[in-house]
Amino acid sequence: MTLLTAALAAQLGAETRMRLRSGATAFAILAMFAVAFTYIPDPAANRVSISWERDGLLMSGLYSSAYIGWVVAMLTSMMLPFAGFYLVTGSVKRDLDRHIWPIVASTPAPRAAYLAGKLLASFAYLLLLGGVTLIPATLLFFRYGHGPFEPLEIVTPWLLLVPPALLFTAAMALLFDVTPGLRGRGGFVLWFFAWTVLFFLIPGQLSGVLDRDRVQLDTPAFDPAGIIFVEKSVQEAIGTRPQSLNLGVGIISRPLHRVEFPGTPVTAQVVLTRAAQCGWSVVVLGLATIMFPLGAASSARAPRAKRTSASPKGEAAVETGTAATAFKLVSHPMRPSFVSSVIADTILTWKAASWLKWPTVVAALLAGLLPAGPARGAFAVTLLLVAIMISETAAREPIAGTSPLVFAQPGTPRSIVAWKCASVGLFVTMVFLPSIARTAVMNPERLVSLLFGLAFVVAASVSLGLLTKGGRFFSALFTAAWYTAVQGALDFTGMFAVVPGAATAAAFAAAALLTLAAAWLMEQRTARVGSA
Amino acid sequence: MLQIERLTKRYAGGTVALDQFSIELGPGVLGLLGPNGAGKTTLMSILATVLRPTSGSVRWKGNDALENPAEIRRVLGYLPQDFGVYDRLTGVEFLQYLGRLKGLSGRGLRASVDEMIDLVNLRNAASRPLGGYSGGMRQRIGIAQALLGNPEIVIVDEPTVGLDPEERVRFRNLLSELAHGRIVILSTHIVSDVEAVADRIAVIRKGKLVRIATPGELLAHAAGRVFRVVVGAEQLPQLQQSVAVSSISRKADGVHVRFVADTPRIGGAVEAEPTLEDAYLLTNVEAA
Repeated sequence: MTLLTAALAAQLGAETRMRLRSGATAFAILAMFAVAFTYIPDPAANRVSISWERDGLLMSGLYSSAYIGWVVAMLTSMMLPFAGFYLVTGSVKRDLDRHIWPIVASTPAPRAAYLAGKLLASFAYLLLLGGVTLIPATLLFFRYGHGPFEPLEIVTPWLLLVPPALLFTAAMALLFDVTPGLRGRGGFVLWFFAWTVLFFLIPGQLSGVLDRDRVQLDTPAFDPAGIIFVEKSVQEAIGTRPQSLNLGVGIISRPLHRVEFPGTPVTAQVVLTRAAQCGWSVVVLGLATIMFPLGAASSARAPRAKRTSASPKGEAAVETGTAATAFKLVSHPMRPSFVSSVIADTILTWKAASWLKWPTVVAALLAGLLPAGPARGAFAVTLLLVAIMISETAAREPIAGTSPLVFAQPGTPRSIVAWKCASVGLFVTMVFLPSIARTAVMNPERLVSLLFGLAFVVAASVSLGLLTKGGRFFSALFTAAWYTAVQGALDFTGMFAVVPGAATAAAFAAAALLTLAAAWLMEQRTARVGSA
Repeated sequence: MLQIERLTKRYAGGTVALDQFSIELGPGVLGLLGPNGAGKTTLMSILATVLRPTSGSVRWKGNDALENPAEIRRVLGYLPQDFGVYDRLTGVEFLQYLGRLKGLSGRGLRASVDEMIDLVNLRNAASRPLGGYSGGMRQRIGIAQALLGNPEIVIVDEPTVGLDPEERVRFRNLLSELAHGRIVILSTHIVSDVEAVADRIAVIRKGKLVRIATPGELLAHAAGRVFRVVVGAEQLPQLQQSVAVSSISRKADGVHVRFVADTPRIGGAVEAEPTLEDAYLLTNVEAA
């Protein structure tokens, strides 16, 4: 085994072990399993996964093995990259922040092996999550299926669509991780836009899909999630280019005609076309390899010091360590309390936030001041930014290594769950005060949903942060929920759906409260001395 | 008075980190000496109320500190062995945050933070993000937060790791000053740290208290049991197998070995004036 392959195998092994031993992995697997059940709605319900229009009729496929296989593959290749990015990015940043990189860098292992190992480990992890979706697919076939059970028909679309999409996602996560300015929470926000452009806009532009008069679409050179590939496959299955094609779970209000959906015959050309998409991941890996030295250097460099006023003597004072002269400490009144600790933690959330806090403030104010449509947009932006800002609040102490300092203080509450819920709740309430006030005055019928929605955000961030000891799982889950909500489906805030209803918001809040209860139970189980 | 009675800590997996550890502490500096894995940090963590013991009690002025940790936390300053900081916060902001958790507020908080910044001589760096601090500067911030609120009990766990020699000396001076009217517990495996400041030394090994004595008493116990000899390089391995060697230095005339034993054991060995390191080594040998 050469040094390169040995180093690659070592990196891959270490990353995989760390990921599999993390509590967040179990949560992610359960979440994927649950989400995949929504991919195949009850055929009698008013929801559909893939639908198209032809000759004025709204159509979808009969639940054959092929159709179920395509639906699951398509939704996995579209949505898992969006949420999965948050789960796999950050491992290089971790090595830099925890000073593991200097140790790795001092070994003969090539840099390329280090980065490739990270990439492959992320890819393997995402594949595991994506693979979980095949289980609900099979179960739902037996529940709703039509025709014979053909396991190959279920698996083949998955193999064509999912691996290239996930490999590309893993590569992008690595690129963000090594690039100064893209790593960290700023990158979390930028990923939403990158995902939209890379997975949808560019392939759409290259294929001509937006031109409704085009009979035949071009096969784009860049189509990692296979969106155009799916459109062309639907076209091939139904014999003509549909007048419109909807990919993703949606609510329908018209009669739906279900037809046979045999899928695309798998030929060598089809396999090669999809396999070729993996080449883009190699390009991104190359970019990451070029960027990495910059990222490592910027992580090692101390931030520029703020200008300080000159000392009274007009020369810079020399730092000579702890004072050598005798001293007397002065006592000041100390009144530790739950309220003061909540305020302290809320202030810390604000101070520890990056540049994100300023656009958050602007968006929050606009959400309260603008007319209805733009206000909704500003609210959506605020929601996403706030969720990213609070994602690590509950796990701040173990992440930063400040647990011994913080939990030894007299004001630190007995229950960390209660403390973090109160501080995050205070933070969220303050940020959304303009929206709450506006809704109470202009749309009081949406107020209850909004409050339930904010309760969901608070409870989910705290519980998932404490249970997974980090913020990435919450970030992944929340951005997926946020994306669905702003489309009008499963609106947990009541601010985006055409018809406001508190039931969805209440359901989300209830689910988050259940998770919070789990976090509280875990806290009781691992209670420290007289406190959480 | 801080009373620790039969403190035991058994971790999941069966490791016994502390085994029936008992000690009474009054004002002054107690040096807690022991090798890595002896149980020092476990003891510090329990006293700081961030870890729960399996059994035993800790009483502060007669009150059970384990049942009511908030009371002891009000008078406690704790500098852990390993601690992180919030990189984006400045030194002042970090101290203000912890000060608020201690219950300081308003003018008292600002004054307290200012005092600590000056005490640890970080005035010029106080407005800089902690992410840019050197290891020594971070350690000084750690010391500053431990002293916020004028604590009656100060627990410092391996505080001089990462400090340069000059800073180490200054820190020892600080501890000596602090000890007036306070209980200071200094946990370390560096003998020279306790030698300089400790009023009493507690030697801990495998979770048990092996000996507690003043430095003078430890040295007196070691008198007559410390020897030095010059041997050839080929004799060294055999010597190392038969006695507890406290130091080796290779010079032109041979290998100068210092060891502890009840008798000289080897021809040419002469009695040497014991140091605290020798006394500590002897204590460990006797406890083994």
